[in-house]
Amino acid sequence: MDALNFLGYGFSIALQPINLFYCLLGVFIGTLTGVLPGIGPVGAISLLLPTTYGISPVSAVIMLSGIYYGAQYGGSTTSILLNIPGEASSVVTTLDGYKMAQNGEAGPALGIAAFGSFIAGTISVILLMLLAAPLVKVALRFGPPEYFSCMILGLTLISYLTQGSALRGFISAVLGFILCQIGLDVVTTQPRMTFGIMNLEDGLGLVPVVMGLFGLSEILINLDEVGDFEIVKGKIKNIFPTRKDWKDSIGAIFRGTLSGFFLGILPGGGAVIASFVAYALEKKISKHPEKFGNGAIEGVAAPESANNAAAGGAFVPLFTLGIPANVAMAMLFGALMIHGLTPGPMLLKDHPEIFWGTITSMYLGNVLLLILNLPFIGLWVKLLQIPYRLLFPFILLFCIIGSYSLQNSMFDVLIMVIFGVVGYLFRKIGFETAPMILSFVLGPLLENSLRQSLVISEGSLLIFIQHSISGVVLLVAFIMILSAVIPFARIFALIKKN
Amino acid sequence: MGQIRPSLMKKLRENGREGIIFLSFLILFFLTILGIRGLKIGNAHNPGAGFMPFWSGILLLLLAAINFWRSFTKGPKDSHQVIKPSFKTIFVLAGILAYIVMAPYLGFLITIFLLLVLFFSLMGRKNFSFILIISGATAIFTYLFFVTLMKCQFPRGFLGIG
Repeated sequence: MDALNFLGYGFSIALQPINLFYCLLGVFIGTLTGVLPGIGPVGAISLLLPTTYGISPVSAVIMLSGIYYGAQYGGSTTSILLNIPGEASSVVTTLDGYKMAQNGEAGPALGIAAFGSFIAGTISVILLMLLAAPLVKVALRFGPPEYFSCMILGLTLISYLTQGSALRGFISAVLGFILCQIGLDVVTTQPRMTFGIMNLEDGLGLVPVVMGLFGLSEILINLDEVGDFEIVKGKIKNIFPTRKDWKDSIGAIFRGTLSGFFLGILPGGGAVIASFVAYALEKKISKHPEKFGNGAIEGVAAPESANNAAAGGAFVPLFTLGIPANVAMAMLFGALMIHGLTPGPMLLKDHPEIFWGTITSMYLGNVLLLILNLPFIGLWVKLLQIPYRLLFPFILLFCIIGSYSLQNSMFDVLIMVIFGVVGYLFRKIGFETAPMILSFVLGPLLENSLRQSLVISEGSLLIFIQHSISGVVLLVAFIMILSAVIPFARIFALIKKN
Repeated sequence: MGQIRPSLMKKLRENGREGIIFLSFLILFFLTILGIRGLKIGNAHNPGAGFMPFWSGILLLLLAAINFWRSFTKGPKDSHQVIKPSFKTIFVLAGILAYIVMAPYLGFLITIFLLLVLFFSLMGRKNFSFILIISGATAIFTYLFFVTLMKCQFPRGFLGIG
């Protein structure tokens, strides 16, 4: 009954005309960023973050969340029609989606992707609602040691599950942690690593850093490899799935939804892994695995459902523990902090309008996305025909103005350029930037909880082991770090050989 | 010994990039230490302002060293891309840096117009009048939108517009 009351309360907030407008704006921009290759939801959120200062926190979070889950919808369009994923989480959709489009079935592929996304998105919001409130009650009992350990585990998981080497993920995370310490020390107010530069005393801004790492670096990479894209020719018809299409895909949609939601909760798991797991699972259990890769509709339904469900699942750790599961959530985390709100269990207690307003706006957002992605599919196809060479100057312009407008400072534009180069080099040498951003965002809280724990224990590090939850969580993190640093498999192979 | 040396040299050549990566992290470590000089590091009982940067710097150095060592035992990574920025990449970066330097003197409107002309030219548009029109229109629209509507304060420059 409580949940229903809160749901009603949430709808009373989400249905306010201003919040409905920001929800529509968010899902529209989200679909746009998903459709257009070259700018992802993280870039879009960071671009729009400065514009949210003047609006209420609940409207801001509704809009920014809409961008995130809207991008998952839009990402499938480019995967199916161009064979180029608009989003990393839609990479696997290209395998069967593009084949379907080549076989003249672009309509059913786009249709099942949209309906699958809608079903998954709606179910994930229900699961989020059911799971978040009880988890918040548990999280309210957490003290600084538990928080410290949970953040360490979150960062470890993100680094561990990152693409490529886990060790490089850890290096990236530590680097982010060092960067977040630039500026005045909170306790002693002494400047740290500012090198006498006044602009650094407030620390590095989240927006210029993210815009550099995810906006500018993406453009620089594309400039090295640029080429315009070839869209699948032919009219898009039969967008509403037939009875056979539904029969073939409904199981895949539900399995993708469940696996996607729970993988989305894991920090570092997210929509990308969820889509790959869902695809692999469908192929494994299919009676006709040979159809996969040749235009199987399940191969579109499963990953598209999974990535949307994962987008919903990612809100669980943010709202319950205050730990962002991915970079987009880190941006939401930053947005809440900018509005003077601390994400985590206290958010539900002190600001239920943000929590329930955002969750219920997702129900509405999913309906809006279905409308945007089915009757208006022609609009998105038209947008895809805009050459990238025309888009890139506009994206760059937004990066420059977005960085500048935060504090009306050219120094922030310089920071954006520096991190653009860092992001470019990191991608070229095989380092992931996601762990860096997450530890950059979580760093101040991590330092704070460590210092608080040490004050409580009078300097004894044993406090992290004496608290049972903290001890178990740290043990898991420690094992993961150890397995990444020490090549156990090679050592065992060597022992076996000798 | 004679056999080890050529193999070590070969490894060094193959792992040259890993060496540069390690060197970069070593420089970062020294920068971190330099950035906290004069600050108290303290200990777990009484952590000073330099406590966290110092220990995270040590951790970074340790992880970078392991990464470097593992690149020797594993060999060079095939997944690495060649770092050879195109002239477009260099021009874009140079353009933004020039914008940062010149905007306070020339003002937002003129510098953003010049920057857009550069960006569109780089993208291979042959029609220069088209470039001038689209750059001018974008600069004016951006100016009106951000200054009039969003109340942003851009550098005004010698013309006093911005």
